[in-house]
Amino acid sequence: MLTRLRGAKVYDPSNGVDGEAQDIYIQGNRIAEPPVNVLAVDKTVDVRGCAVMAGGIDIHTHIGGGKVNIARMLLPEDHYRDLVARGRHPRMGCGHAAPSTLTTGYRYAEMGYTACFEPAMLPVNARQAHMEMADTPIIDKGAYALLGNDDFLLRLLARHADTEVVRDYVAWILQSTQALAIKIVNPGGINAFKFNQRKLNLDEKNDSYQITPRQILKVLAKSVQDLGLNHPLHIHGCNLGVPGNMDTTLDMIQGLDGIAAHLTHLQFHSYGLEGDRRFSSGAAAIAEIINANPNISIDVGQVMFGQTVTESSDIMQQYAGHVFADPKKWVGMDIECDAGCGVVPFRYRDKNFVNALQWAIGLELFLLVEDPWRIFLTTDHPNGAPFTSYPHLIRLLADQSFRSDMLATINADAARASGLASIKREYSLYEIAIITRAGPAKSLGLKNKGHLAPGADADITVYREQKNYERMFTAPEYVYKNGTLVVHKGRVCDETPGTTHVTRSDFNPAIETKLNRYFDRYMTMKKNRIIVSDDEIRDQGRGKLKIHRARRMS
Amino acid sequence: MACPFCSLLCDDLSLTVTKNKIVVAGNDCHRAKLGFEADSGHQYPQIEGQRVSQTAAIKAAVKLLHRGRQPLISGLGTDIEGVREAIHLAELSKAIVDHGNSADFDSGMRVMQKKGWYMTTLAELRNRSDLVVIVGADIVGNYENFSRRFLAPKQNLHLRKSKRRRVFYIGDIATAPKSTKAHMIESIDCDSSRIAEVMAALRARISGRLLQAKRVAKTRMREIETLGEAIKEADYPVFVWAPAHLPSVQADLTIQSITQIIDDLNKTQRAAGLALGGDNGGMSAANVCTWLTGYPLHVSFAGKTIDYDPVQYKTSTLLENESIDTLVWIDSIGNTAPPATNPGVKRILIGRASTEQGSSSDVFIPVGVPGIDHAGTMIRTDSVVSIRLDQVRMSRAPSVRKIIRSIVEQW
Repeated sequence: MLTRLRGAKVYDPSNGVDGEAQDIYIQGNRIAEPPVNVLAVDKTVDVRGCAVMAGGIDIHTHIGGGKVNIARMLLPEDHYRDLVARGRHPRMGCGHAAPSTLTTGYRYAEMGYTACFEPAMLPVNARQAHMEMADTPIIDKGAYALLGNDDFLLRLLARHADTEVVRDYVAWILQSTQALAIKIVNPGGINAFKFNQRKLNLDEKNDSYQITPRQILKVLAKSVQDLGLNHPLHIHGCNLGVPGNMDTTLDMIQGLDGIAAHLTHLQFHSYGLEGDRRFSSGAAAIAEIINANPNISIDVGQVMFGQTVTESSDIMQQYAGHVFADPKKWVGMDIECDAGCGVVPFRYRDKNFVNALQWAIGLELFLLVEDPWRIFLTTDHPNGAPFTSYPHLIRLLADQSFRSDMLATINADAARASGLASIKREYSLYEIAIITRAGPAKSLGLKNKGHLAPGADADITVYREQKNYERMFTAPEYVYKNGTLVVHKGRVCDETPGTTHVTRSDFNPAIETKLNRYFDRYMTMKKNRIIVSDDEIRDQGRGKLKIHRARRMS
Repeated sequence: MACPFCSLLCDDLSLTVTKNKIVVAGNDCHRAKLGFEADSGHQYPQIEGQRVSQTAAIKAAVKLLHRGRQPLISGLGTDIEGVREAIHLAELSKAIVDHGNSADFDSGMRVMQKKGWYMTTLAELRNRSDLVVIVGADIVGNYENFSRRFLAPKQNLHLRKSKRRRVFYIGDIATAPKSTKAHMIESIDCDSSRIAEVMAALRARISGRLLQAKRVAKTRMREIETLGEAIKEADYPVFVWAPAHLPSVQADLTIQSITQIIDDLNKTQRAAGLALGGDNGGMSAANVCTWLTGYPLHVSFAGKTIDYDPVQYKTSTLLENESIDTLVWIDSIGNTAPPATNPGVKRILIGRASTEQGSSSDVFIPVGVPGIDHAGTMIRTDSVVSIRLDQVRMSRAPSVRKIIRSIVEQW
């Protein structure tokens, strides 16, 4: 059946379309060429007065895996406040900052998002992460495998293993955990905390292995590059949340020496030490270095005011921050010689100087980084805020007068300490389309997503144009997933299963011998037990798998 | 091969299969032997004790559930794939959901939801812990491979050769693990019904408080102090407990004292806890229910929104109060009988083919065992690792997943 969406303004930055009135054709699960004969159209949907974009893509959101589930378990009070009644969605659910998997999928779809990626999948927990994502309806999904604190890798590095061996290990992890990309969190720091090291700077040695975070970063970033993975190493750097950490960030970027890297939730890594409270914005300096280094992309990790929960593998920093838990409880874990995690409920308050300034810093980053193709919209859900806050964030970026109104409501000292008031820039719809779909798709190497040219996956979002972007982006008029209409007027009306995206690269099987020996000697199960098979992802037809091949460069 | 018969999910078993009979080799665990070597059974689907086709049995189950005004789906001795379907069925049939063993691990959940905790996993314990304190957990009786696989192994990543692992046991001396040449167990005898007091005293000593008492619940303070000192000297003390083995009245208090000790220690050194429990699919059920509904079991789909009540929605309480009229009991792993119910309560039993349940049910549907008759996934006791179980013999027995999916599809 050939469907025609007629009369909308199309925002398709990947193909240079900026608000032109264009018809979009859907055939099966793809976007089709306009037919030669207009009579071939079976169904026309009148979308005049609407803006059309590709489905939204969240490049960094915690939607599956142990720590996400720990947060759910820890916070029934989060769920009581946000219950999904029978009939509202195809399946019941609940949760505001820690929603159930079902509610997560439906809400993302209702917001016009069609693909979401779990950024911190521990290899030993990969199976559970995939199973939770399999129970997240509609959206396409994938995950980044976490490395850099696992004893196997640190031992290789401490023994000066060949770069080929490290590269083979990374490729093996990619395949065995069914990952799309590689992530690193507080390189060497999560591991160091297990041995009672409470901080670890970029050039400081992990006591056990005598290696520095910078060394680990360099090796992994190079491996990812050598393997030809589409997405660069996804980096959660040292000293997250520590006042003054902007220096760590600047130092790290300089040290990367032109190697491609994606720096995640950079707002949390952009703090200075100025002022009476020794906490200030480093956004200007950080934005400047990003603007000058085209090898770097970032996502912001914007903070929004209200109750949320922080879920992170960075147990070193979560431990430091647990004193601020609100409500006063938290869970920490040391995990399987692999990594760790910390779940700390948190409330960001607009009248609190630090929280207010964090909010401003995120916005400064958005507005000062010039190239929208290298900065993506995230709140590091739920760490900065639940993903349902994205429409409000979009309005803040696009409407300077609204931003100004909001600035007037926050802690006045924080407002003064930020440069936000003087920034007049407003994001256009074209730029919003870049930071919420076109850019993430390109960064992840998803060639058939994030754009609307014929051949692309028919993941399409139609928004009714409104001056108030928060309203506009909250409830899209139509959302198509793989050509099926799944959302109408902001409510799920149908379902279709999402696809799991993975990247695969060749590797020398000799690495498996090393791993077998390691697992047999030290671990609590055989090496083959952690391998997640293709069949498990496909799960008797319940799920779909798409394998992207890496461009291997020796 | 991996074993589903306790929450350790050991995967170092050798099995030989002859004419569908399984024999366990290379592993002494009596639970594994019992679980794997049980009769394969020749049970058929039954309605009121009469043999019927699977289709008929499923149809009858659908009918009973439609008629039921307050069903309870419990047992949940199955894999992740089975629990998923059970939750879907619960939503359709407006049922309450619980796991047969949840009373065993609820105490830990209460402590976790009130204060949180700091935990570790088995590989960390095995490779880094230089001091393990087993608090009342009967690992000899119930987690036989624990010592061999995690305490005894000589090869580890981080323990200095000079530093041998010390293992302390606090509890009833009768259930203490025995010292072997490989490692010594230092036992602190304690009236196991008063173990909470001993842990509170230990916490007091570790945080430097003076106690006048020379004994706490018959245990000598001197022993508690020695343990306290050893803990403070250790690089990575790990406390191991099993909620099911703690006296039910004191379980919360005991666990809370342990987690508070760990909390105190982590201020200046490192420490963590590990809970053994969630057997018979309990850990899987709690986790799957959490990700699908937001809550770890004890949920009701009876109303407009999902209701969570860990006090009310307990299998034993519901049965005692006669609050349910239909029981769906699922157990494809354990061999224990489903609970008795009052006459008038309809019983739909979905259980291992080797068990005879036709006569005590309105509908009985025999299923295979995950890890024997079909592959499946389960979550280990430390709640982070999930193990894929294999199919180890030819079998036509359907999985819980398949049966409940059929019920859901016919709803």
